[in-house]
Amino acid sequence: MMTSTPRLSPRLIESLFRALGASPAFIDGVVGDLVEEFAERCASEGEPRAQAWFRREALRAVPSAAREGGRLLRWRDGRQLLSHALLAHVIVGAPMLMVGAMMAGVLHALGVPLSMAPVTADSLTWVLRWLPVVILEALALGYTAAWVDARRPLACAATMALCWLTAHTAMFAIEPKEPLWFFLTIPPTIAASVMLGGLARVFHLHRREGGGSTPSGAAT
Amino acid sequence: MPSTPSTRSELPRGALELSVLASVARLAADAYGLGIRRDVSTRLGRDYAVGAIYTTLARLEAKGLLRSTHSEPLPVRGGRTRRQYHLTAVGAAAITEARLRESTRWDGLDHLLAPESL
Repeated sequence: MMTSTPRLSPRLIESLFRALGASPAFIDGVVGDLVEEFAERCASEGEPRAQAWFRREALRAVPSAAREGGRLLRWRDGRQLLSHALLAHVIVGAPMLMVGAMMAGVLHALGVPLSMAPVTADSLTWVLRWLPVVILEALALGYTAAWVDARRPLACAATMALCWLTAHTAMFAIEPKEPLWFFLTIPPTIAASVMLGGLARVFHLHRREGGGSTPSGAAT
Repeated sequence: MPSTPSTRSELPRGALELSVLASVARLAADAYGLGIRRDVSTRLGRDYAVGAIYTTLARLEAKGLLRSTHSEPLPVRGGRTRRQYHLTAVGAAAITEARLRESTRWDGLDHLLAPESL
């Protein structure tokens, strides 16, 4: 009889849940159940439907894994996540600051005026020009945060994203210099990019460990 | 004398926690994630995510209402173990208490809901 395995690797799902800080018992239970039911569904509903079911259920389990990771967090772990996020900020921020200072120096020498004016309602061009740079920085921040915290890489990236959102919300609430559309679009985009950077690190680790090649969840 | 939940935090909260607890009692030897999810989803008429069931099971275990043991790694689960859940004495007492509370919730409604009084 043909052997079917989920196209979305169970090992990758395990890596993702581990990166969110879920317990081994939770991971073993959830992924084991998914694999077991996938095998049953392959036999009863056919492989294409079983594959779709597996993908959907694996994604539906992600919020629970994040909640489980949060439930297991102690005060000390929270402090550690924050300090790792801060360290990642320094690692990425320091070189970027130096490059920025050098660029500002060159522009100043060339006589190009440098404006630090806040974003206004008609400064969409400013946003479009700088958004790719900001997104790249956010991706680097997320990746670095996940690299710094080897135990809970994605939880660390999430901590950084949350810090970003909190800081922006607080700044906007205290002194709303930026227009509302800016506040509603840019910080969430940055937070999502930070998470994407963290995810990239998890995928990178998963590939390096050769996790994708392991045929788990055999359905006969 | 059976143990009873000593604090409010030990009581199961919400329909899902109670249903999972009841399902573990009902399924006995088959009380593991997959079976529990199917039983709960059928009875509550809602398709619960696998993760939601395990989060609930972990909470109930932390409250001391359930305990768990795990099997040897199984090929059908891709070499992963199967965690079997068992009701504790405190869990059994919590079910009894919840049933009692549920039955008293509808007290005094019979004559109000009778067709002739509507």
